[in-house]
Amino acid sequence: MTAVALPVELRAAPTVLRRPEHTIEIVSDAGEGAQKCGQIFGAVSAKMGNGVWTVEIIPAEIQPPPRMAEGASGNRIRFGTGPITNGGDETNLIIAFNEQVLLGRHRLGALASDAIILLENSWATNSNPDIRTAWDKALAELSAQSYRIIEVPMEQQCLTIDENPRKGKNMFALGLLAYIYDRSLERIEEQIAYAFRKKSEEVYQRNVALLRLGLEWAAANLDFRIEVPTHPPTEALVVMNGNEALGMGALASGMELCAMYPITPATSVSHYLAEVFSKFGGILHQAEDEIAAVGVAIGASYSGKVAFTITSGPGFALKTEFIGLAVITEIPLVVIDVQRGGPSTGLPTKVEQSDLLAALFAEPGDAPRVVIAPATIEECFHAVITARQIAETFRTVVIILSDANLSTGVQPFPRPQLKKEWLAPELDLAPVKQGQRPYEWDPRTGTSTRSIPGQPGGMFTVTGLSHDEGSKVAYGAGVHQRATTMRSRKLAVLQQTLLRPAINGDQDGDLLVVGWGSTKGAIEEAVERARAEGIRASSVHLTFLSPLQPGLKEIFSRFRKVMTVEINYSDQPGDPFVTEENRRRGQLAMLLRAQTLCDVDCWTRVPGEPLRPGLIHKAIRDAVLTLTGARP
Amino acid sequence: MQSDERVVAALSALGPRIALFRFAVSGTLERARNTLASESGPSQTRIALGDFAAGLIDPDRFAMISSGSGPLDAVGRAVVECAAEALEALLHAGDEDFVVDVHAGASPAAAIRARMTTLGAAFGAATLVELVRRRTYDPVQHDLPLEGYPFEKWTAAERKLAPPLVIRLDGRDLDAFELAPLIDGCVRLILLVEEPSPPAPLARLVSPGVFVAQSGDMKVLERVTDFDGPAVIAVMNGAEARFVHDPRVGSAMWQRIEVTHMPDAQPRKSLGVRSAWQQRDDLSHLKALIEEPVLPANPAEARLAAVGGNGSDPTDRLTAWLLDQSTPAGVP
Repeated sequence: MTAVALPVELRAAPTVLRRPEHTIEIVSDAGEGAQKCGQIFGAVSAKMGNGVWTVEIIPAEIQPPPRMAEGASGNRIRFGTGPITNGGDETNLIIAFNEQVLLGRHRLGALASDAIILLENSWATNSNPDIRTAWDKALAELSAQSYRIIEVPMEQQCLTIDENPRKGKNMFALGLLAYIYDRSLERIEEQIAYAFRKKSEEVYQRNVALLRLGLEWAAANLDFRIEVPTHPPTEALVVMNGNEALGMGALASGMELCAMYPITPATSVSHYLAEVFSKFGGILHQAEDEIAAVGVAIGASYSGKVAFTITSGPGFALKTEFIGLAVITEIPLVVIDVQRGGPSTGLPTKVEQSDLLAALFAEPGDAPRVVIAPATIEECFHAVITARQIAETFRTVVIILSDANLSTGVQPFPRPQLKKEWLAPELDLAPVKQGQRPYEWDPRTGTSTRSIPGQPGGMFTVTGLSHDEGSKVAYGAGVHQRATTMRSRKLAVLQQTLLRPAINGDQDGDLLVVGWGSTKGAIEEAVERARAEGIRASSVHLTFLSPLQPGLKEIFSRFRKVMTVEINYSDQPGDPFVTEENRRRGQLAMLLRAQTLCDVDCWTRVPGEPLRPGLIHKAIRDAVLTLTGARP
Repeated sequence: MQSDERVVAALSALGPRIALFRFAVSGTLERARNTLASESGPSQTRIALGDFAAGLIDPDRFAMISSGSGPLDAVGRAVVECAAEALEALLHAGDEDFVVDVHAGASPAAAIRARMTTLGAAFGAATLVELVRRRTYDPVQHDLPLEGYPFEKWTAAERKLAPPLVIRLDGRDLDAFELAPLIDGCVRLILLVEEPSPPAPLARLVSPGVFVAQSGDMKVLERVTDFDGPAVIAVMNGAEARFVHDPRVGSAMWQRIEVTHMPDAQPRKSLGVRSAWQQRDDLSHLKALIEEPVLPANPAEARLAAVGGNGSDPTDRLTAWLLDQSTPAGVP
């Protein structure tokens, strides 16, 4: 179980295991820097030419008590020779800063049966007998598995450089990984310099020393290395997380103002913009609350600026009234909702796709809006550009549904070739056309030309009351009907410009899996595995959720069963009191059933982490076996 | 007429403003070409919608529906083509096109207006391109001549981009009143004045926010390079007054104006459009501008002192002030 280190000169050359992909985790108590270690390793691997997808492991609280199995904080990095589209299934190698966080990951089923564990061993000799007992118990439980456990004297080693035992283990761990996976030290040091760019040179040097210490320890004590071949990229790549991509997308689309109020997991978009937005003439406004933030964005948009607001579920709930104002006043607005677990404060740091129905319908009165969902980190960048364009073309609200998986995950993608056409057109302050009214709806399309304050002849009183074409309050009969029709018509018109969704796999078959948002990579990988087993499964991933892309009913008709896969809640058939009539289904499933009148089933989970392709694969297999009568 | 060296020096000093004007022309020309190209080349809508929309949105259908983005009609296309032609010609305008020679006896203001109208065609063309691009062009309402677009129609933004001009003229024809309406935005008028000239022809143009100078050398031009406002500078070679009014220097007139030379002799004869009396009055005006005002004693202060309100105690001062304010009008 425990590796006994031989003197280097007596040791054989390490065994090199060659793998097409590997999944690793670095876990610690919150505040020990495991996330930083994982982020740097992920970025360096991507830059060296591995496909990468990272998933943050975050406790539900910002600072849970130390040494709690449920309090693991860190990063999971799945990297491979080819592209990686999701966080994968089980971890092949884990570095744990204490045995309790390791136990937490083990009990969650996160580790592969043959996982290699590098475990800080200072706890075994801790002066606190309770800790020593907990160590023994944990090791007993873990040793019953077929893991390979390697004890590492991290603290003892790090104390030779940094007197604070809580500091430095992360860089030491990075050194271990650099040795095991043969990562470029030069690139790691560049990445450390970037990560600690706001710290002193001394901090940088200490971190580099710890990195090298870890690498030297690994070289002297480990008998294996793992090779995940890299393919140096042929084109320029960028490596970032989804929130940075959203922020960059805002810059690329010519956004001029972001009004927000801090909320996990959306806040880091504003952290990014705070550093760069003003260099591009943008304004980042942190309002006094969520309601004020959306109000400022609407006001800015009304006055001709290109504005957006960003939030997460609870903040979105607060913004609904103002979003209604933007809809009825037809003021273009982009709202980004980085979803987390809910309701209420819920799971602030964990992923869920539970805001779909809120994004679609959370509004008194009829308030049609566009809802789109990027599926990858690259799409987070590009979605903002399209959203702004639609919002301004149709004078409407566009909601982008991202989530905590995308927001913190890191993935490399080709560096976008920026285009000036992505920017908002210059403000047109020319006099408005003679006789043109502020809501001169084209009766066919519902669209109208927007007037900006200051345009000669374009002055009008903007009102949240129902109004006619002249923005006059709707006292007369029929005005509200006409105005509501016109606002709704825009969605129908937009839907007519949308293309049918592409089918991943055969065009017909036994099972069609339908997903949306960040689950795309996991679903497609699961379908691929199922197809390799001869299962006739395909998938469709929806990007437009309001309006829905055309042709869904016809596509559904080609499959014996249609099933959504989502990270939101649904009752399980067979649960107590749950019947076909009262069963609560996944949110996309509810929408698709209503829109297509097809019997759309669902497989949904709310585990607080991204759905693993292995679980989806199993759900696909079970669904098809049930169809064919061979119930598993 | 003045020597060419002065014209070259003036044009050199105005180089950044000329470049700015050309940049605006080239930007508008590009926009006009893009407008035409979008009708036949790769769809602008496809690009504008971004990569996210690829495979999701039909750009042609989107373009048809999106407000004002349908195909150009024949009239619109013809208008943009004409505008592009006019802009192309203006883009190739040489430095000599920013120099105006005013024949003796002619009106400098009329000559300047004529050149501004010619160069201002760029602004007219830009307006037309935008109207067509936004599908709001109305042949009746927007019948803008492309051969010229008069200064009076320029918007505030266009006046900020006004093409600078070097004007060679006879001093006898210089009439500041005629120039006044042209001073706006970032207009730059460099007058290369040949003597004889009235002693202070530009004194009447001195006003807050306007850089005005009469100078004997070209160095003064350097001072307006980074000035964000209108400027009129006369470069003279006789015994006329020499002064610089720089709005950035102070808050009061006498702080902003610096006179380095004042003619000894008072004008006795009329010169061109200016009578002797007008010339003397111009000089008097200039003298008045540089005088630091001596404010008369404030009656209120005197009264404060009378009631003991000029002490250091704030309460006393406030009480005194209130008493002063409550004194009925006309009551001593």
